[in-house]
Amino acid sequence: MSLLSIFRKTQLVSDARNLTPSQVMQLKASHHKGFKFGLSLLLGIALMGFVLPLMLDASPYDQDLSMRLLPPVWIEGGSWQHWLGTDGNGRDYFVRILYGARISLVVGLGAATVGMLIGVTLGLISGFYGGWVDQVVNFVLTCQLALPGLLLAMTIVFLVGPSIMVVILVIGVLHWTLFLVVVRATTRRIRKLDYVTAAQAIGTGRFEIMRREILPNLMNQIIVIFTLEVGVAILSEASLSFLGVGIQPPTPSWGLLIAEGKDALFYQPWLIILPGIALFLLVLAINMMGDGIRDITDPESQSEGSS
Amino acid sequence: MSQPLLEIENLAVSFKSPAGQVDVTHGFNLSLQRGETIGIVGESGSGKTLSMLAMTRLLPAQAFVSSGAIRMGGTDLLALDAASFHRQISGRRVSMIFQEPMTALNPVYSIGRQLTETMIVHEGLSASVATARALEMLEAVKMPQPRLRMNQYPHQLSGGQRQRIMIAMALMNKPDVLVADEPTTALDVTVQDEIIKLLVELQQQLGMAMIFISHDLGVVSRVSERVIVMRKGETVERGETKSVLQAPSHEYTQGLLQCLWRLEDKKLSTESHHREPILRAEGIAKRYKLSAGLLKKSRKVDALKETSFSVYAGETLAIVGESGSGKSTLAKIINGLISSDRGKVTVENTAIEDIPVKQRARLIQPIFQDPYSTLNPTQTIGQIVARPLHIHKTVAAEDIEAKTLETMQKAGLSADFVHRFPGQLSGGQRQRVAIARAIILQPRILICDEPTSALDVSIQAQILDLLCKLQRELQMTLVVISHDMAVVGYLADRVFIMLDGELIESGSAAEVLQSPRTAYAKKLMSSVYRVPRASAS
Amino acid sequence: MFRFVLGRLLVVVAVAMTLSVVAFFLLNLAVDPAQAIAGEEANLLEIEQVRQRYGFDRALTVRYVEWFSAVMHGDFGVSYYWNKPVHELLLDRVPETATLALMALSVTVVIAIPLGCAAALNPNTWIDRLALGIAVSAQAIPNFWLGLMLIILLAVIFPVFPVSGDKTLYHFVLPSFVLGASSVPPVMRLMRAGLLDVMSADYIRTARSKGFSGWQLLLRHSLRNALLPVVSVLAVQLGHKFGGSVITESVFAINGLGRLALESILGADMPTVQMLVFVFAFIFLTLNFLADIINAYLDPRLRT
Repeated sequence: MSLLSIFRKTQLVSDARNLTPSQVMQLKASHHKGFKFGLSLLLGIALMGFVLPLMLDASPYDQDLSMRLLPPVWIEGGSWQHWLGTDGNGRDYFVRILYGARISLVVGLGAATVGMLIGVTLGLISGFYGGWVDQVVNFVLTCQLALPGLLLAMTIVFLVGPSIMVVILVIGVLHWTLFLVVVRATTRRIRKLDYVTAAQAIGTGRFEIMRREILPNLMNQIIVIFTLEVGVAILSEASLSFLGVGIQPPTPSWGLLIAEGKDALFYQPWLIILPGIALFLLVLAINMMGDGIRDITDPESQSEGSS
Repeated sequence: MSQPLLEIENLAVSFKSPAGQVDVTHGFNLSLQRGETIGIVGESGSGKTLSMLAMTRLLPAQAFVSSGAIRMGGTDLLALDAASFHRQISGRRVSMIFQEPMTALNPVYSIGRQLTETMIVHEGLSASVATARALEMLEAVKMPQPRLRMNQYPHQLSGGQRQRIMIAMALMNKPDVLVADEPTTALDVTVQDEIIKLLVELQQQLGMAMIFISHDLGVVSRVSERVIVMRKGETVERGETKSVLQAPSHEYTQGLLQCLWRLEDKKLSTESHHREPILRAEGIAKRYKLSAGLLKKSRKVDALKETSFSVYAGETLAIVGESGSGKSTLAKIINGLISSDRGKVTVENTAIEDIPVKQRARLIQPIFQDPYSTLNPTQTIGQIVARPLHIHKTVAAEDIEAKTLETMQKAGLSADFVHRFPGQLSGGQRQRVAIARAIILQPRILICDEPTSALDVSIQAQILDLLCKLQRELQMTLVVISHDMAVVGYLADRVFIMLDGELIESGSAAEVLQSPRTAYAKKLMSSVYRVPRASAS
Repeated sequence: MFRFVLGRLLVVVAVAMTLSVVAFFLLNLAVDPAQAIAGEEANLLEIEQVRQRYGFDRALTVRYVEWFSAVMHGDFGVSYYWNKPVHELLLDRVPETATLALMALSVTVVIAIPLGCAAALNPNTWIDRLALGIAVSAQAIPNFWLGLMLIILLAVIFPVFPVSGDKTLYHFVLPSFVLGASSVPPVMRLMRAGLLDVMSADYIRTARSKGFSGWQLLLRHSLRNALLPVVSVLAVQLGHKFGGSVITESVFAINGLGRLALESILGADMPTVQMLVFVFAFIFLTLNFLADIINAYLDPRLRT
């Protein structure tokens, strides 16, 4: 143990005497600017995607061919009626972008959940049992890593037929390796710790040891990876949709909006710029939250980035 | 008295923290003559290492010297700019060796390169000159096969060998002062003895001065003429080692010594009572296969060679041995946590593998060394201690809380600990929680693997007393694994000595500790450094 | 060392075999190759004729063995879509993608390694925050969108670079920046974390006590240790650059393997897709194998 970590520990103890672990985390979270920024931005985007459309009572599919390719309000020719303009079919771009947030969030959360279920299960089992179980899992991992993920996702979506469900499953099934690697390493470390041996000695079964002694100590890391994987999945969905092998028209996925706007690159660049910014902000919010949670749950860090 | 070689005056080290500047040590004074050794003694967090890191400019980034002066033969060390300090002082006039030999050497470079690089890079000497000097130093630290070592890497050497390399490296440029920071704490006692003797010998040969930092009064009394006792960043006592240890003036030093004497003064048990054996081991052996990777030859290690013995009801049996002696493997086997390859263990005449896991839990419970990994950080103390009751349902559900509190009280924990988390407890308190968890099922046998070696001296005695008290109250049998002869002498009725997986000596505590028979046991006993007593002189 | 290399090679071969099985069966079960060749409008009789002519009526395992032994001789079959031997398509397209991937990796290395080192050596300063900011942003920018933005900015508004194509190396500047940028966050973060870890290690304290500081400390004692994990990740990233070339090549209209992949998928041209999955996986495994060798060279603990 380095001197510095000893110092930090005593420092934390004196700061946080009589605080439970969750209270310490709350304290750190309330001082972490990046986390607070990410969380607010994410909540804002989620509200806009899920609640605002209900209040607006507008559909992303309503076409008005007399209103095609209107520019946003700040460019000449724009109007407040369609303040972010309209697309090539005369659909309100603001409403379409709002609905896009739904698609992104649903796909991101869904795919990350699928990946988490696969990765955490495999990681926990291989880390706990070790030996040949671990070697088999490791072989599967090497195979998965070697496969060209995007190419495979494109092929499967194309072959099975595109739908939101298929996109979620395919992205999820291809994004579990990080969960596995981290969970396995930590499980290996924890299962050698004395409290696991103590649990064995008082007669706890293997499943209970994994559930009560190991899993709770993995939660912080799992949450961090989950958050980051939501971002990755959102970008993957956008890529697939952009390439035409993801969400299909007329559903307003942000990747698809950018693909549709690509032909108008020179004359109506906002058709590309606006959904891209939306995508950037959403993933940025999620990643900042993920980084924040990492800092907050790391016992060694003193709310860094707070000053 | 001549001009001192090194003088430290009123040194204070502080940490920058978000809350402002925190003083960690202050008012530290030291004056070192050529060729002498000063010991600095203190428990963890006393600031004993920090002052020396300040002198060698190795303080961590957040720490800095906030006041004081360090002079070395007329040069003000604090006034030197970084470049001249590294060029003139580091490794030339002042060298340092550290506690952890396993991590103090860079794993990716050869021993030869690490030994010679200062001479080649800083002094501009040719590789052959530097190599010759390195070989000479390896001879000096009594490293077997020095030529072979030059091309080896740190992971190929043992802990003791690495510490010899560290010493050779520190002495390459014939420094005036060697700072040794707990250089033997991570080593086995017999290796510690060799390294200490080597350091003392080299010091006399080279005429250098030494500053020896340790938590171990025995070791310090052996190497140093003068001693400084530190506590919580302050110097509480200083003077001739002999007079400080024989007539301590500060209550902290007195307390420390009293803890030691109390362990030593207990009359060694001569009892080798042959009551009912509660546990019997017959010809048990265990072999580990290491790194059985693809295409790799798996190495086999005999952790435990055929061993037979009995443990008698109500006694305290101590198993003594150095790292790799197989004592922890033995403890795990008789606890039923791993199974032996051959032989069998019977508890109350039933083979241990035939006892259902749940029943075994009520017979035998373990206690571990490291108080920081013995408790699950995500559970409250109440949950941890009560857990065995939920599994075994030995008491009715509505009585669980009362039973938990009662057991915690027995272990010296008040009721307000129930809702705390392990992170909020000190090392000693955590060890009490571990003990409470182990005794709540009222087991017949308690297996304690180095129960106090991670604790400070003053806490050690409390935990040992607690174990003794509980043993009497609950009529338990204690099996204690330890490398610390003071702990063994205090607790044990009978003692086993293990070496390389074999049980080489057994007998009552008095027999084994006072008149060992085998050569190894004799060496082991003579390697223990005791603090000289006033009454003896 | 010999054992080590042999062991790794065995893993490469085993994984490659497994993946070829997976790819073959997956693609042949999902798409009826006879239907794909005969075309959408073909009637059942025509499809049946195609099936017999190409031997698709035989058991899948038999066809796999046939396919695999042909692959071992460099023959990946004939593309239905392009009507050309698949390996010719491969050889035509490899240079573009290899150029793109290697240039992109250089971009990653040149940005991520110095930035990661600078951040680790100056923790909690503006440099550290800048590096973290770059990482967080680069991680959130969709790759294809970055490409389009750069086209708008540097090819349309300020026409510094060509909009698309692959005629000269100059055409590859924007695409390789886009592809390289996506790997900057993971590599930089790892470099930073690794070096921070190393700088707090006991052996660095030993080196400092021997009088090493500044650049000497970094170059002689820290970099090699900190680079160990980075080497592995760079290999993974370079492998993914081949696979990830799909997006970049389609945005910048580069005729490489990625574009070939997209066109083959949309054309249901399974022999080509099979070949690409296999080739990408093989490239990835080879790169990882090389990284293992480099790591074993750098770290003596891995050699024994």
